[in-house]
Amino acid sequence: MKQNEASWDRIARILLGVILIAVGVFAVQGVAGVVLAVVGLIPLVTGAMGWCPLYAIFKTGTHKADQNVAA
Amino acid sequence: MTNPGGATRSTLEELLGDQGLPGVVVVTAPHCPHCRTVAPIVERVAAAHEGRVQVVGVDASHMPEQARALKVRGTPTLLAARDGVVVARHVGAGGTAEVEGVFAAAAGEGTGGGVGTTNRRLRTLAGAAVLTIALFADSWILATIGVAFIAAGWYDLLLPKK
Repeated sequence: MKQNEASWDRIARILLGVILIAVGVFAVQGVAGVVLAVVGLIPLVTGAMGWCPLYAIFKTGTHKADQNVAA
Repeated sequence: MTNPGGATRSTLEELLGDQGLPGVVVVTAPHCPHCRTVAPIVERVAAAHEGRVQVVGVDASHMPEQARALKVRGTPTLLAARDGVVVARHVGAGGTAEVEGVFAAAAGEGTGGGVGTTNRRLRTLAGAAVLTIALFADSWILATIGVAFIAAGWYDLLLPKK
């Protein structure tokens, strides 16, 4: 699984995920809070893995490295 | 009739010598702004790989034949070489993740299960943040998720070395 996210993208996703989980757990609470926390897990997981399935589907990404090109 | 593969191999051997170490060839040009940006990153990552990966700089304006033989289409270009073969390359501006990727490929860690410094840091950061929330929320589910993130950043240490 080749990473398709740049470092800034990953950091932004992790921050967004942590914020959503924190808001869901501490501010919203209840069922809506759990839903928000689960939604927050999505950017957190994609940021931690460095791979976004939507980027892969649309064959795009923020990671511009041209790696593993055999000469 | 030229043999591009042979030219690449002989140029790599000429640049990297016969020390048996894998290498990273950094191709730059004098008036290339991205080359100046990437230089300190290369220095830092090279220091972390000292003794395992040798680094050679090539000025494309002074060594155009070598640059051509290595199929350099722009600067900066970072080439990871193992056993006379280019196993990875990065062209253009890049951050620590890209440079580490090239060094990891040269060191044979490219796809061998190595997590990499950036992955390790980001996964540990994410895990620590979730664990902190779990602590205050008294949630074992979140704590488990946080531990899983941290484990994803360090699991490679448990794998047998190649």
